[in-house]
Amino acid sequence: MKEKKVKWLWSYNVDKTECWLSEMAKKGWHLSSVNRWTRIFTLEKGEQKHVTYHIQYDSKNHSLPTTLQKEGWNIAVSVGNWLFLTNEVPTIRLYPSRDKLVKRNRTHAYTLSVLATFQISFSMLPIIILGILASVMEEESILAGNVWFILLLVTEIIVIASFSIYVFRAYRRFEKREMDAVIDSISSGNKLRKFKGGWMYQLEETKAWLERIAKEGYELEKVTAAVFTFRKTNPSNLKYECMFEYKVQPSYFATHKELGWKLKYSSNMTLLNYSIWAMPYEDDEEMPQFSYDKQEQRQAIKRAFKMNIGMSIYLIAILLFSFYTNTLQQVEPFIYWSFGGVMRVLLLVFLLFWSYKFIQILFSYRKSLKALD
Amino acid sequence: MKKVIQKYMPMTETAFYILLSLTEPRHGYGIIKRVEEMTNGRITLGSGTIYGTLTKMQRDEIITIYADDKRKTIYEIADLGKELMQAEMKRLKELHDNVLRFEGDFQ
Repeated sequence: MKEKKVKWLWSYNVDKTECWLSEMAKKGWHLSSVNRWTRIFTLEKGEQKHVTYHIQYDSKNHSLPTTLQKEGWNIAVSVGNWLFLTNEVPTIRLYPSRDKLVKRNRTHAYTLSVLATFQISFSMLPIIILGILASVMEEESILAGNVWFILLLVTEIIVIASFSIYVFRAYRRFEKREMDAVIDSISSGNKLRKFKGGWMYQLEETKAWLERIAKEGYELEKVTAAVFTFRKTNPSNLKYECMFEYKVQPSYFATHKELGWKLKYSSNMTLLNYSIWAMPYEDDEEMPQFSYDKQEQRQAIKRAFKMNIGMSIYLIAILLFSFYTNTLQQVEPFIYWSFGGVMRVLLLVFLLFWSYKFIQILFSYRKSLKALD
Repeated sequence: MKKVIQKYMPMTETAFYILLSLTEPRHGYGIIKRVEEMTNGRITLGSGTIYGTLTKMQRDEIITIYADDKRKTIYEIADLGKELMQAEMKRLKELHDNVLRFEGDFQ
């Protein structure tokens, strides 16, 4: 006996798909094949039993390491780069790593967002043109005549936008859970809020600042943009680490958490990621650190420096360019002239601010390198 | 010798001890404790060192990673890693032999 079931978005909700497959196995339905193109899952009737499913994605390796085989894992179905693994052992100790699946869904989510943005702006064009035509020619009939065409385009836009938003959110949910990038909140203690603009550009200073506040009895709870929320918890000693990584691997957060670090902040992207960590320690203990290796500490400082200095140079270049083109314009009418006047002042202020930041980044970089020696 | 092995040799002390602790699959915490034990507390590894070293080794297929039931990472040495350790141990043996041979001359 066979049953077929269509699962359109199974690969973006791998957890749900696995749960569903396990539920079906309890009822005696076991997976026998998957069609990647029609999204059809074929299940076969067998005996009712407890089966754990694990969906795996790997473009290089389509076999199962012996360690996993010993743990009871079997390949139920293998299609393309997908492996549907089953395990009938009641308590499983080892699971395959999901790193590659997270990466695949990340690539999909980002590519889809870019494609959707292009497609949507492309579809908007005819609507805008029709709208302009209608208002210029003062003829409502242009819009009325094309009402189906416009409706079609609008539907297309809505469908594409909702699909890409869905994929992106599913990926973020999956990634957050898989990577354990969850920030625990502190439920009690007086709140204290402080503003620190541009803290990402001086990680070492931010670290020292946070540790000073910890001495006053306040522990960081969370960071929203540049607003730091603290709670009065009277930590004895609190060590902070402010990190920058070009790219964080799926095991990044879990590894640090496993060793006692508490995640306080992580920027929303796995690329160019900033994060803040804290760990309490006793007086008689050695101060905890991400790395006790001087060379690694130097590398971390250099990495953040390269990013921040690059960012400031980029912004200064853009600001200089706009400032230059703005001052070149010699327009007479008051409206243009006054607009240019405001813009010029604004640009100059930003330019000065970022030049100041640039120097600050340079100085604090030298200071933190010196502090290491 | 394979290119990857050449890239890793000679190994840094931390990299060597991390691999040496993987006589069985371990968590990051387990690796740190094991290395501390083997060196009598001389080497303390931070989570940053563990993360940095092991992700690099995973990329080069020197180790394989798994997850436990709480989604914590478990590290296991791969065949390539075993080959690397053999080559490195051979080098260290030579080093050790020479230490014994010439030790007396430096007293």
